[in-house]
Amino acid sequence: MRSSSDVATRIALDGVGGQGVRVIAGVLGNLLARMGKYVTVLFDYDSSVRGSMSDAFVIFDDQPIDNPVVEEADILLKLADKGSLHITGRKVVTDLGLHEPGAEQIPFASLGSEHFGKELFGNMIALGRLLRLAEIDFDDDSIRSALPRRYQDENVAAILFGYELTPERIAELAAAAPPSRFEMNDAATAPLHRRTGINSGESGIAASTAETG
Amino acid sequence: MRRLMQGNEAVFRGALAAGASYYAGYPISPSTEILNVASGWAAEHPEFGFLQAEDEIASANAVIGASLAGAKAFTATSGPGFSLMQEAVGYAQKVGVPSVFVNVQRVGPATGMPTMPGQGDIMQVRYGSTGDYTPLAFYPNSVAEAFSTTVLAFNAAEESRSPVVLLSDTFVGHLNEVVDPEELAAAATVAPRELAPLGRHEFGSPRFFAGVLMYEHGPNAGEPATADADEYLRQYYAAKHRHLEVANRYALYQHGWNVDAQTLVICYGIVSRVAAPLAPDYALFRPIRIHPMLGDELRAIAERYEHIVAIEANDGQYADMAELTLRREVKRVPLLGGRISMEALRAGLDRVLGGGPAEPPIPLAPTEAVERSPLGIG
Repeated sequence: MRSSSDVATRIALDGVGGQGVRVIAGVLGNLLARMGKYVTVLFDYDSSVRGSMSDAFVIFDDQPIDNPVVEEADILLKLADKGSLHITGRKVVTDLGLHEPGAEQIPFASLGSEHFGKELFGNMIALGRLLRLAEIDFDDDSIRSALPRRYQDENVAAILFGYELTPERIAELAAAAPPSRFEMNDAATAPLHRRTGINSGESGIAASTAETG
Repeated sequence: MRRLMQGNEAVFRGALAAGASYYAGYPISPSTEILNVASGWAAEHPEFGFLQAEDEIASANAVIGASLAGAKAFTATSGPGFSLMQEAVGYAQKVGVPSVFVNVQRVGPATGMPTMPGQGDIMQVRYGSTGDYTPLAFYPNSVAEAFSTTVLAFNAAEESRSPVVLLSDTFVGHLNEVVDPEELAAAATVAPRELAPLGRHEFGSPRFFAGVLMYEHGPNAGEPATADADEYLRQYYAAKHRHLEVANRYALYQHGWNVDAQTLVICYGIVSRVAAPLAPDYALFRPIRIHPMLGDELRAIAERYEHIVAIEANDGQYADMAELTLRREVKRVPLLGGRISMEALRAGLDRVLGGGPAEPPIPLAPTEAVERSPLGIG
């Protein structure tokens, strides 16, 4: 019989291309691998680079993992509504404004903008929240070694911000924030000429450096 | 050092461990990471030959040229690209060119669903080119196995003197798992290149590269044999027997899960991983060598099971081969359209074991527009 500490944790991320789903999953997977865990990270995405379905499945365990596809997640992070309709989560965290009954809602984009100057840092705040919910202990060195080199200080700060959010603080933030979706959704699906100046080039934390393979 | 590695990268690392020194390819989802990694490697290692060709036809022929010149060479593509390579594959079969063709399968035909996982090229590998030939093909289901099976594919290519196919799929190719590449490389046994490069044979060499049937030995060596059935038979069966002999060294499969169950499930590649929750109630036969068919092995295992069900991300391609081999019914659970999930798999198993058809209920057409990216297909 396996103890509760070595039962696999299954995490699903559901979003659209451009939000950083691949980055979150990649950093999480690299961090867990460095911690000596067995890890699978699998991406499931549509063929548009930006704006269409982009899901990722991260599983970690103390023993080898058989099935890398997550259909029933322990934690489901939902950043958009275009993802798989087949994934359910015991604990669901969504960007504020997504209609998911019973979900914990966090205004990732506005928090990223307000505290770190860019909406896109919202995905690192989301990663921090995931690390807390999955009870993954990490130190500064391990998280830095799992992150892309660019914007590392800002990313670490955003992760810690998300990690330290309490349920009470989350409830306050959700009540205070305007009920808007992660702005990256609109930016990511807008024509190129409208996208430039909003989230192009320099603002991308990790979206452009995110390939995990 | 243990690290997270993607299945596609593991194929490239396995190729290096096997002694590959040349890669040519043309990008196509979901195989492109192999080209990317090869490109990066070549930039840092000038002794490694790399070509991003103008298309898959050129890629395949460049690989053949490199192999004839003495290099262990390979390419990677997906189903549509593999279709374009078929003439070259047949040529490499005819001329006896050791080479490895990686096919990371997606949902076809044609462009189909470019990023979705499929297994629809099982028969294309077997019969895709013209004429009769005896292809060898392997199909891993994990990142570590992608590495080690690539080494095997290169070895089998050298030993059989033929283009060997390494099958994969979107999910195996894009799966990231923790492996120790140094450990995998250290465990690799590598078959050397024994054929002399073309043009450096002793006089009377039987290697001809025109693709036309030529006399290989005797007083007519080097002359066309284009109307001599006897010469055809000699060469055809020599190649067939050589390939089968090499295949016998690599009769790789997994027979596991609950081997005492009543039903034997046949699945391979990523489907065999997704099907793992069936373990308590079903037996598993997972072919790793897909071609030639593991006939003796499957017959010996299958006879103890009441039901046999092939679960594949195609419409029963391996099931057809298994049914011909076993001369008994093989039920089919096709996982089509990229939906490789336990939900679809269990529904299919319940359906066919309950006496129902292989085909799932056909979904109704949507009555409302599906929201799509304005950018369309990227």
